Amino acid sequence: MSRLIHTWLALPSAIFIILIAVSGLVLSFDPIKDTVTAPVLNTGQSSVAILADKVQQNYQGVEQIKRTQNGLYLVSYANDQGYGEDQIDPVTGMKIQAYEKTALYNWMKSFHRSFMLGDTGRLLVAGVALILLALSVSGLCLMIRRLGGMKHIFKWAKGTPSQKIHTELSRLTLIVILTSSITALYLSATTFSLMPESSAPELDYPVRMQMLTAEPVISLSALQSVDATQLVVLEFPYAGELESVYSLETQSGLGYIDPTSGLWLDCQNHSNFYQISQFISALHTGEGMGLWTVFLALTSLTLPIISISGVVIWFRKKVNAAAFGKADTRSMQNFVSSQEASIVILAGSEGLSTWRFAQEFAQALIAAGNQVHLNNMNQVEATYANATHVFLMTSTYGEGQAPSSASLFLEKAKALSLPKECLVNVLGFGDSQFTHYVGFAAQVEALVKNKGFKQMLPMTAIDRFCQESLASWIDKVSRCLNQSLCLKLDKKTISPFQMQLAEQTCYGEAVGAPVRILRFKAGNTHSALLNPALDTDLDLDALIVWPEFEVGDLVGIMPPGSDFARYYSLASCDQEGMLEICVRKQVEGECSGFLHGLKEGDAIQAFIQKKASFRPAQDANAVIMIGAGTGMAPLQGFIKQNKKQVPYYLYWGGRLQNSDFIYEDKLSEALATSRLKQLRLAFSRSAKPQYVQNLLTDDAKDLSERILGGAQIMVCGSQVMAEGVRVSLDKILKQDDISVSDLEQAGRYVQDVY
Amino acid sequence: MKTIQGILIILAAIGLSNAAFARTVGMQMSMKGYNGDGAYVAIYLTDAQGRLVQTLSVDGRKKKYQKHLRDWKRASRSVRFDGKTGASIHRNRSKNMLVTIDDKYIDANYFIHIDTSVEDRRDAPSEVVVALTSQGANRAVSGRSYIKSFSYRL
Repeated sequence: MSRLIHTWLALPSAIFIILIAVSGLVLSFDPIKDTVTAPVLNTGQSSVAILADKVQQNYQGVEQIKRTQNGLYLVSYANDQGYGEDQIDPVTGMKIQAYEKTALYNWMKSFHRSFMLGDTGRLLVAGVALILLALSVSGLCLMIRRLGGMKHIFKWAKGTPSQKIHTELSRLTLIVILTSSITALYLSATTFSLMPESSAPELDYPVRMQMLTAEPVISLSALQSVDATQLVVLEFPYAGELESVYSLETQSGLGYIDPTSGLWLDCQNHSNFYQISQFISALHTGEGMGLWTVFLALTSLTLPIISISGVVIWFRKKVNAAAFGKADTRSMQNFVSSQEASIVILAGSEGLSTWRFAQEFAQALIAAGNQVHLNNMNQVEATYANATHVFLMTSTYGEGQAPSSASLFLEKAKALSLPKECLVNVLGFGDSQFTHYVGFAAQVEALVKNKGFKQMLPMTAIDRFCQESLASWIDKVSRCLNQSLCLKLDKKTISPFQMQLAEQTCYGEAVGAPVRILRFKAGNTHSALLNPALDTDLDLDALIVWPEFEVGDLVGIMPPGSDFARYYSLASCDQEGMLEICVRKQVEGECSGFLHGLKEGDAIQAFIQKKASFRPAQDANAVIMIGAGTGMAPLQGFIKQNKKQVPYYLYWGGRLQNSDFIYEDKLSEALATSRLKQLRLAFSRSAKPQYVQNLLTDDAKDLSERILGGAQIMVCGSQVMAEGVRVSLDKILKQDDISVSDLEQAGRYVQDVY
Repeated sequence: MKTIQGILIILAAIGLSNAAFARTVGMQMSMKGYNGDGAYVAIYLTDAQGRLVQTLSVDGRKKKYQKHLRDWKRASRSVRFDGKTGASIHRNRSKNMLVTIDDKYIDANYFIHIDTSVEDRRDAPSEVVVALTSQGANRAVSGRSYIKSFSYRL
């Protein structure tokens, strides 16, 4: 709702907001210039009597002395020499310059108030102020949602540059924008007499009892008693007119002063209402408001940027949606109606990525001969008569909220009934940098359980469209459906290359979990490949001889007889000339079995998948590495590269020291050269069985000290181990009031989990 | 029939008697090309001592700015103006008005005053002061600040 309001109010009014902001910016220069350049008079330095006396020494025929809200002192005079208004120095009473607002200022003021369109324009401007207020409020709601709740309100915004600019600038200027638009509405309301006018009190001109000649202004006690900085305007009596008197308005009130006795003839204080409304209009104009004026100017400067970035965001979405709309009509003809379909896919998407994946998945199912129905989750129907499988795939918005195309799902799906044998599967997309990254998918799964639907697979979480997890999910779905599904996972092209096994080392035979460290070198293009060429279901770039890769990146290998690549973490970088991975043989593992069966000289095809998030941070003053089993491989690779001798602490868990302690020699070498500061080992099948989590708990004190001191944590290993590590660390950090998710958000907790 | 005639005669008599005491005066005012927004203008009639006799016309609708028409305000004293006000008059514009003035004020040492005020600029009380005389009619005078010319027609 907020989003709709925000978009459809902003688009038509953006140009007006920009015009008003720019004219407001020009207008704000005036008070800033005045405040900076005007000679300053301190409180207590001079009284109105002294000021008036100084002015009279310099000017004949003074009519009026005025102090503007910006602190300028102005004198209006009419005498034989001339007629006009000058800015004076309040200390000396001497002329500084003739005073007149520039034509530009007058034009801008008129434009800012009414677009030079009279009362119609004034209404238009008031409308824009109202829209700006509505935009600020709806924008705040959106921002809170986007950042994931009130408590994250000070987090950095994520997203494209225009989204970042839009959010950050709006957040910085929100208070000023709110103030400006509310005060603008107040001023408009008084212009159109919707609010009572707040005029200064009207006092009738007094009648003098005794018409005596005027005394010098400096001797008048009422004027002596008022500080010159309190002056608003002092009007002089007409020379030679005995009835006329001084009239004086100050910050606090106004009255008339007898030119002979110097006493107040009549006076009255300003009402509170008058003073408040003066303050409100000063908040808007910035006159006499010091630093606030600068904030007003800066906000006027950022408003056009905010407007433009907002339009850019909208335009991007529109372009994306248009592109997707075309694809949609082309493919929609293959879909069947909700009641005919055997496979129903419902997708909840905020942007379009989830929807795109749902489409590709649907196409793959259609290609495999299924009757497929695809729709938004909001379009869920009461029943799907012929459904055998229902897929619910959704992203999550902010703190576990529904994305826009699934906002009604939880409510509508309460009425959903499915055929008895129908299987449901929930797929959650998200970004694990956020705490509740598949929060909404979890709610959907809870609903599925609640309704008693059968689940084909437990809910699967996909982090940032991670290819491996998608591939493995598709693999599982293929098995469940007993169909081979063919999906283009990513539009990014991959560059396959050939490599030849150069060396291999075996570990862990004794504990029944064979592990091999495999080192490949660039392949000879003529040799026969043992695995299928990657040309069927992936967009291919040209074949290359030797790719670029870093420790921590992944290598994708497709075993014979499978359509999906498996990924292994790299323990070496391209410059070493060797591609090193560490593979544990899984029971019935297609790919690990295949790799374990390789002999020196055998050639296979592979491709590199970058994983830049899994690297030691350049600025970390220490790195705590936690791994188990083959998770050691990339960690060992990082240690090898630690030429700066940053303190690295490695916690590793294996089965039996004598059998599967991989990289033992490398690690002792690293300890000797200070590339590794400390090595802690846990073996689950030793005399004293231990897991890596136990080590962490033992070292709790040291660990929390290092983490508080700015250490980065890198975790590599199985899902189960990573979960255990996370739980242990959360326990350790609890007393320091931080959590692993906090560290994750700060980029100080990275993991490579399989 | 007789009654209608009677009414007509009475109406004619009122009309004539009215014509005997007051007359319609045409006034024309045009503004200078000053730098600023619309001007607030008060045109009023005073005696030789500056006492208000009649307010002829006020332009500028916001009461709170009318205090800047200082001499008029001062001459008004406790008399609150409750006549109609026109919109403020912009630079380079002209305005024609018809007002009714009692015959006894013409050629009798009474004066037409004009006060003007423009936002962000100095007030101009009694910018124009002209005697209301048969001789002065149709003769244009100009003001010091915002009024290019002012004339009246008897």
